[in-house]
Amino acid sequence: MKETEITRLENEGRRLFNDGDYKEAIKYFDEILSRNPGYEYGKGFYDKAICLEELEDFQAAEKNYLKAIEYWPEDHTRLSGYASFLYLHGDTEKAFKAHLDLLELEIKQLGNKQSEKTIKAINELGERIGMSVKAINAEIDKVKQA
Amino acid sequence: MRPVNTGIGAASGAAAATGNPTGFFAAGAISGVGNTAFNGGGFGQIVQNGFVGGFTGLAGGFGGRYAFKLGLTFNGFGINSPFLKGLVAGGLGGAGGGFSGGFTSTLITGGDFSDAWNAGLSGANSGWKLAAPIGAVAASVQAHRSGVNPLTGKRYDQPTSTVDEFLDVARDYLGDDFTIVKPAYGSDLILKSADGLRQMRFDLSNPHGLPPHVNIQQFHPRNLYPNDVRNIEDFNIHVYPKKH
Repeated sequence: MKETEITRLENEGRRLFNDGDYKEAIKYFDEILSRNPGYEYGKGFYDKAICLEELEDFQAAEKNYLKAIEYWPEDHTRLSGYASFLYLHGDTEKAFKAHLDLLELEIKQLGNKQSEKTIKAINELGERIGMSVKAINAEIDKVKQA
Repeated sequence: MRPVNTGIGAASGAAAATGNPTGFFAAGAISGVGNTAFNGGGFGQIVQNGFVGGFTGLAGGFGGRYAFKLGLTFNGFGINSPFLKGLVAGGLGGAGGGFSGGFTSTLITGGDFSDAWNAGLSGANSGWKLAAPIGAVAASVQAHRSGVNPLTGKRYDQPTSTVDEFLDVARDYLGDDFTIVKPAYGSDLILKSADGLRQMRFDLSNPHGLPPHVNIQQFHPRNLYPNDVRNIEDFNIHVYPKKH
């Protein structure tokens, strides 16, 4: 096991995030992005996005979430993080769609083993945008059968 | 960015990697002192947290060092990987030390049993986070010095690790019912625990500028609202299967 400079920056940024020092954490993630934006397939963008969300800079947070997903569209952490961000701070219809995308990934990768929370969130968001239970279930079935 | 703060992490890691008791104590103490100072703690608090950190680091380091030599069974499976043994034993040692430290000091300073219990749990949580990586580093250093691959527990001079050996390591960490994911992009392979909170990611064909490695990650659910799908990363440790 060997800690490199870039993994050290990541560890320190995570520690600061978990301690609630979001502004300081961003500096570490920015440093990672300036050295190697492809590090961990663009994870620095995701780490920066969750800090910006905590600092309530939602526009910049969304930009960074999308950049992180662009680097790695099949990463569960990124899709679930973005879906959760939209649930709290975004447009409800976009949040509904993001949770359906997450469900699709979960079924593809995990065979429906870990999608209980996602399905509950989809139901709740569907109701919030005025969809009937039947229409929500149809959307879920469409994803399951894809 | 705080260059000095990065230095604290580096100094703490370097101290742990010495593989001796002074180093383990120093690793914990450096973290305790540095983090308290950066969070604006007073002199008394800095000294107190330095000692608490030092003894927690010592528990983690010794846990890791001796875990390398001892057999460890978890969920019915024997753990062979020195790295994982160190992570578990170091974390448990730190959690135990943290609990008793928090519990006892609260009682001594006049707190009631309920306060002491909560302080103990909080101490256990901090102790685990501080000591588990120190234990993992200590066990890995001890293994490496003995000519053993820290990840698989096999000697370097034995034939190259097989897929079966990796699967044994995976079962140790993830439990028996983990899921194998082969994403089209990003990592070559991901092994995920049944609850999705632990994973091993193999970055071999595109290790993004590092030597080929395995990411050992742990998360906890954020639970900010009832169906919150987000998990928060606790750690992401890079393990390099080949000696470099």
